[in-house]
Amino acid sequence: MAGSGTEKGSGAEEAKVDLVRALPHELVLLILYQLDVDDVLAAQLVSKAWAAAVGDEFLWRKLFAKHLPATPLAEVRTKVDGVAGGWRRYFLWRFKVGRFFEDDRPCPYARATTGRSSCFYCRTPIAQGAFRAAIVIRGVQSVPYVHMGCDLATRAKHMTTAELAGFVVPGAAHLDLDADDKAELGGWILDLLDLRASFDDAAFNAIAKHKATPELRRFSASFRAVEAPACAGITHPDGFLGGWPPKRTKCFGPRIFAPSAMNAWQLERIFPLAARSAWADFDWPLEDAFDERTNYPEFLYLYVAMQDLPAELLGEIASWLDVVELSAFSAVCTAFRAVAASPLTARPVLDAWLARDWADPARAVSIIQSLASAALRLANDPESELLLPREVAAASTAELALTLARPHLALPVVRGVLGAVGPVCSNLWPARADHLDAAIAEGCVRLAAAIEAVEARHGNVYLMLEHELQMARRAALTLALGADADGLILLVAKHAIARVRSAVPHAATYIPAALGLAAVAANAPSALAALHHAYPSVINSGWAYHGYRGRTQAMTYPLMVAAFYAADAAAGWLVSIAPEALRPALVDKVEGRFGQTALHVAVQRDVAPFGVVRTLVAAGASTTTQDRHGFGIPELVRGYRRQDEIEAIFALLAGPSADNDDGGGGVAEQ
Amino acid sequence: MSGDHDMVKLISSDGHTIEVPEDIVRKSQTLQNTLDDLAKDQLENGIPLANVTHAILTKVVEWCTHHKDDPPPPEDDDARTRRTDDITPWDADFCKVEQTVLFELILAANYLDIKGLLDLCCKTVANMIKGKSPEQIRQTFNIKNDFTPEEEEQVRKENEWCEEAGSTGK
Repeated sequence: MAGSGTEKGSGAEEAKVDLVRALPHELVLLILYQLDVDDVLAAQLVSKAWAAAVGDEFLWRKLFAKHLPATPLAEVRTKVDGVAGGWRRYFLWRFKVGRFFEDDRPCPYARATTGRSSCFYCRTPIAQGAFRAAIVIRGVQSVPYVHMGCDLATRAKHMTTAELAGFVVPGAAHLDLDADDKAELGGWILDLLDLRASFDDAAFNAIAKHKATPELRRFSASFRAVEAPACAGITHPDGFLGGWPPKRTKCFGPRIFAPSAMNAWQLERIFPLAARSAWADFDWPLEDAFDERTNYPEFLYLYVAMQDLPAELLGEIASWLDVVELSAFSAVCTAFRAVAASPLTARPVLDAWLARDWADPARAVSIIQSLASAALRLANDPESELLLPREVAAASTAELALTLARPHLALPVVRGVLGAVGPVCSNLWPARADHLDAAIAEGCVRLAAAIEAVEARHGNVYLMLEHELQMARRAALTLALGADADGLILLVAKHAIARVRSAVPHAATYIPAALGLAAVAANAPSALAALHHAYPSVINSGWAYHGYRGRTQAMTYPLMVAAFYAADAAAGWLVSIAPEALRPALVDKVEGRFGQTALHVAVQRDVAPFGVVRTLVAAGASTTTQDRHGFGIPELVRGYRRQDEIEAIFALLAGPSADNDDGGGGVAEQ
Repeated sequence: MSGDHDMVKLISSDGHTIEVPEDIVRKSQTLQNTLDDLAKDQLENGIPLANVTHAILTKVVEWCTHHKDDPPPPEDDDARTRRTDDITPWDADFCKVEQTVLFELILAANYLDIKGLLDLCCKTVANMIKGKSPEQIRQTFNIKNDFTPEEEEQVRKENEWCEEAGSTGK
């Protein structure tokens, strides 16, 4: 070093100089250019002179090129030139969105309920599904979690039709998409994926319109719904478009709905997927969607069949999917199936299984086990950022299995799930091989408690987690009841209530009622009695949650549930605990949602030997009451029963009184 | 220019003359252009540097001497400036000077068009800013906060999500 006397003195206080005033503007910019964006923004707050320096558009243009090198500046220039602060604003937006995704990977997850149905018109077997999908995004600012999701309900049609009713957390954006001709989708509507390039541009354009709702811009994801063909005779999702018979489009490649007014280069930039395909077809003016749903600018509704996409892209998408989504993608795209086959080899098998209407119990068990194992692998992926990944994976898999399973498959399927998912809970419960159901139940309780804890901390995730909570409870209850373990159900209730009460006091009152209804539906009077012994609110205040006042009224709905599920033992227990004087009022009450009495329901739904009907008649149920449609018991019996059943039920309805007073109080078959 | 063709006289703004090897002088793009443009006899009396004091010129020569064997810095702006944590220990030690000196070095490097030195000094200053809050930056450079609370809040809001009313022209 030269001894020039320029070195920093060790003793005297160093002279400090405002560099913005000491250096020419272009050199200040050169220094600012070396900074990270956060530091540049901090520098803007130092003083007015610094703010002026930071506000230089040249700086932001340079930062654009530095931090977002993939963005063609020529295109950006067309967007921001002539706009005050355009480079700065556009850069900040793009940069934050990019960092958002880098740091906070959206976690799409989905849950499907599937079943088989028949076309309303021609009775052709069709697949029917209901799907719920959501994206959980860890927020970057004050909101710790942002959730966006939608429930996709199905309607019976030759193709299942999607009706999207989305919701997000209170205080954030609301998403709503009604099915219309253009948006009709068939099959299972699956997955919501990130299309960041399309979103951020659209959202940027919407900033001015929606500056009052900045939360919208945290939703840095748009939806891409991919449908899976499930109806017989339809081999490609395009078949679901345009009504029935399926409209055959000119191509079978990616099909993207995009703004009609966009130029080709805009399309290529905004829809990179489209740019990769020679068959991109843009025929749905996205602007219409924006105009009609001005509150939801982030919503881009795109339909992309996954054919012909590069393998690496498919692999990337696969890494985002959970087990249910993966199944659907595999069904829609053979290429994707190949990609998804490793490590999730269960998927093609599941597809085949679904195609054959899951007729083979042994095969179903095998598939479910593989499915659960795949879920575990996903959940244990250290890079996975799923919300509560292990618990969600466990509960989701159990839920899937329970939902998919037909009654004759229920037990083996559940056992299969337990075998695979049980280890998830092994750290929560001293699980032994013969106590896996207890372990999974405890795991579900843990899930419920964890969700409630998250809710307590961040109330804005409540809507999302409520579904998970119910799912966990239901899974736990199903397992507990399946094992006929009264002690276990009490354990579940105890843990759930204690933990929920500590986290969300108002929600705790809801648990006994939910457990009680589950016990009724499962026709498990011993569990019901145990619950009632531990928690009298199962009958009293708990069921008042559903809007019924008073003891008899509070029991009406459970009794209806018992009648609906032909749960004769549960119905008997409910009637038995009602005070004798109140039983006629209980059994003759027209329940609001059903619009019928329990006997109305029972004569339609009960199974031989008609224990529920027998119980209700014995309790004094009226056989002359009409339901809200004006139908009486005889009409319902004849309308819903085979001849042999009609005779049996009428005999029961005539009952002992027919012998005593010559049928005056009974119902004579006409 | 001295009799030795490898030495060049440089005259600082405060009248001091120092002789520097030509290969060192050519680290400066400005001086290289001067050497190439002027005839030998025109260099006999030295090259006056009106914007560089003797102390700063000495530091510049010191840096150029240390880096005389360095390859030319890349023209690519991004590659050159993407990182600020790649300063060598010698350079870091070199930059441990008063802020006034550091800023004068920046000015000199800019005037003499010595990209490597300019880059080093800018990075050093940038590192003095990085990771600091506005208040810490003010303390570092002895800056008075002349924002009103309202103005400061306004800037913070703008920073948060880059939302400016009417700024899109719509």
